[in-house]
Amino acid sequence: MNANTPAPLLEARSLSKSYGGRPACRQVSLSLDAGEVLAIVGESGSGKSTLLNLLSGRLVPDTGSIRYRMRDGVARDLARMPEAERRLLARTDWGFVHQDAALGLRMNVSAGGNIGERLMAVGGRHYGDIRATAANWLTRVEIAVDRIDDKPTAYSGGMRQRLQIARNLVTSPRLVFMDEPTGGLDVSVQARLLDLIRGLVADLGLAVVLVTHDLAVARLLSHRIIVMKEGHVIESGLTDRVLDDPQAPYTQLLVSSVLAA
Amino acid sequence: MTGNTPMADYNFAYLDEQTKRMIEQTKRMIRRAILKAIAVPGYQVPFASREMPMPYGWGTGGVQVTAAILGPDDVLKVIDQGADDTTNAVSIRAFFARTARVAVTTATADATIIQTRHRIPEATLTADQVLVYQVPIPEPLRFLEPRETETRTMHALSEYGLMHVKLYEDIARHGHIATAYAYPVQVAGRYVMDPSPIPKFDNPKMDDCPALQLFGAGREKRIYAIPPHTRVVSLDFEDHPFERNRFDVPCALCGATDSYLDEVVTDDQGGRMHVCSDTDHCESRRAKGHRGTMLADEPVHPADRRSKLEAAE
Amino acid sequence: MSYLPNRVALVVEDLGKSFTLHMHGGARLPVVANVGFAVQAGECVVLGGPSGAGKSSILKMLYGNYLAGSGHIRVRHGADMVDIVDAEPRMVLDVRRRTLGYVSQFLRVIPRVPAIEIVAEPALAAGVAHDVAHERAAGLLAALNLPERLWKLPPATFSGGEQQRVNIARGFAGEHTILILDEPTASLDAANREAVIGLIAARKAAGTAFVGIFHDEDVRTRVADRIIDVSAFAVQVAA
Repeated sequence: MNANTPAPLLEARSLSKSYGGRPACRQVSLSLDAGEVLAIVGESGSGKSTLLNLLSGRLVPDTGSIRYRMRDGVARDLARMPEAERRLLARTDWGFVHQDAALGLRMNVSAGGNIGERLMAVGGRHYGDIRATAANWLTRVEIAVDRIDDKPTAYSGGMRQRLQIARNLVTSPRLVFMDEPTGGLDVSVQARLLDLIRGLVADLGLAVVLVTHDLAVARLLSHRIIVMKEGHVIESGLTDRVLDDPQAPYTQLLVSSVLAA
Repeated sequence: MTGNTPMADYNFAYLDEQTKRMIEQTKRMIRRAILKAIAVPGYQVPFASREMPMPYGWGTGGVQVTAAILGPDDVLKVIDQGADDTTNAVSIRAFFARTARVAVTTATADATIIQTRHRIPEATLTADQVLVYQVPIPEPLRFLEPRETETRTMHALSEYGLMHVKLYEDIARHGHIATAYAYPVQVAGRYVMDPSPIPKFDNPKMDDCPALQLFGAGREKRIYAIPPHTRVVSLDFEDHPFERNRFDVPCALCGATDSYLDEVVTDDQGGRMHVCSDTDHCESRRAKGHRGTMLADEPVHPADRRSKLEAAE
Repeated sequence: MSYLPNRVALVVEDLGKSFTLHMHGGARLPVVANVGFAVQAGECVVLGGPSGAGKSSILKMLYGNYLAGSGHIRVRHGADMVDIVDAEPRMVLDVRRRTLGYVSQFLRVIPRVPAIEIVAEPALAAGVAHDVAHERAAGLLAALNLPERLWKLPPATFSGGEQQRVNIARGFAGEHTILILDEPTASLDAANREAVIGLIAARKAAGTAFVGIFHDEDVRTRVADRIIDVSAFAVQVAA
């Protein structure tokens, strides 16, 4: 038994967000431990992306609070954190992997520069060291080191996603948000990327909040799952339990739709 | 201040100050921006840039700053790429000679205000002088981050990693920091600033400079400043430190080995020579008897040249 | 860690389960009710009864894969007894990591991961050192007669029998104190069935508690200490 269970890494309470009176996220509470992978599933418009943006500080909730346990062990309310500190947190201890790599990468900057940016942002001032670290990360995400000076525009979709992951992981974050990281990729490319993410998450002990509409992705990567519909959490629990023995009508529909497909 | 002059229709130095016709008090507004810029070194202060009787790109920002600080006793020098006699420099000098009737000069040492495009004079500036830079693009972060809202936040929070990404890209592509102009600097340990497209050769002159340095960007509506004796550091990497560019040859006219040289094509046979880009500096040296390898004639005395210029205006 | 003074590894009380099929007008499909039994360390309890009696559902509830409708599943997890029925998902995962293993009928293939890594993973997850975990994985694959040339390959292209041996090896690699076996030998030939029986016997001797379903009469009688007829827990449908 985890006698001295540490406080959760991320804890959200009663998060709500409306757009022009239309609720996108209603009273959502959740917590995430270090090293835990949480999948948020649901169809388009279910509020899963809104929830991800709220959790990652990219959107401000109408109500509710989010606390994050900093590296010093103290849980802090994100809404009360100064912007400078929040942004520093977002580019050191957090990562964000977008479905569209163009949103997560600087497309006119070389791969090495993309990976090195976070290092330089936290004071890295040795070109040789930054480049060596970037090369090492390229290898870890299975990109040939001789592509280090190429811009992402010259990369395939799968490579861009892997580069985006490297760019995020270079500062050893403890929490990574992922928004449909394998969306829009060919099946074989998707499988390779999933495997890479799975390996990195396990090796680095990353906590991940993963938004996906693909239940197979959720099953492969996540420990726990949250099913959303119309801004509500419909069902949550252990990933294999929710997928193999769904309780809510909507979850049953979701699961059976996939199997039928 | 307008007085009984042929240009009585204009306010002193063109910009309205206390007129009853216009509710705007442009000079006051610009001076406030300048004061704020001096108070927050390197910070880009927005100001309501006015239409000037010249197109953007011809120094409208610098002209507005100069107009706002110019007093009747000032002596104005205007240079473009180091030269006093290019079209841009001549016309701006003529503009102020007509609208403000201030004394003009080409001698750096005699000037109280020097408006410049793309150079800092070679002569050491003094505490009695103000250097006014014409700035085309004031935002050093724009190269990699086009969103103005984002760059403002980055300045506010001192998030300058992106500047080093630009330098990283330089080294990755060229093996060294190839940025030769508009080389970014950090002012007083806080704001990162674009020094306007001066050669990086001039960057060290900004550091601990006794003269006040003001930067005006007309189209972009920004004013920023380096107060006298402020620390100005050129960004670099530990293993790729900032280096001032050097020239392998001395000035062909005055023999100077420590000035910034322009390459001048001398004939259609591919002949070329390197000469000081700072014409006043070059002429002053020649007047003192310094001679380069290609100097044929007797040196023109700067005083002669100046009187010629004044006659022309 | 002190060895269990009490040798009870698993206690099931009043366990019940029914499926509600919301896609079919909310039809309720009763599975089992009032399931109760206990398993001691080193004991192998086999669930018997006709097909459809709910054997597999019970195993899945024990593992937390199916949600129990009622009752308790208490598992000795380290020094504590944890009730799988109402434990937090994180606790269930921790129980699975360190206490409770599961061998299903089929391997869930993970793309691009070599067989040896798949087998070693539960041991690594339980905190076993890399070398030890790989040695253990190699030993299990050898015991199950999987040709060594296959160890470094992902099992996606393996035959059904080969995949199932990888699956069994993986199930045993964690050296859990409780192991659930859901017809692990169904797709194996006689020689490999024999190998599995050997593995079970060895783990029983080491104190592992087993709960399993074995279709094969011969295997069942050879591994079972007790056979519980699940039809006894059938739901009495009101007339």
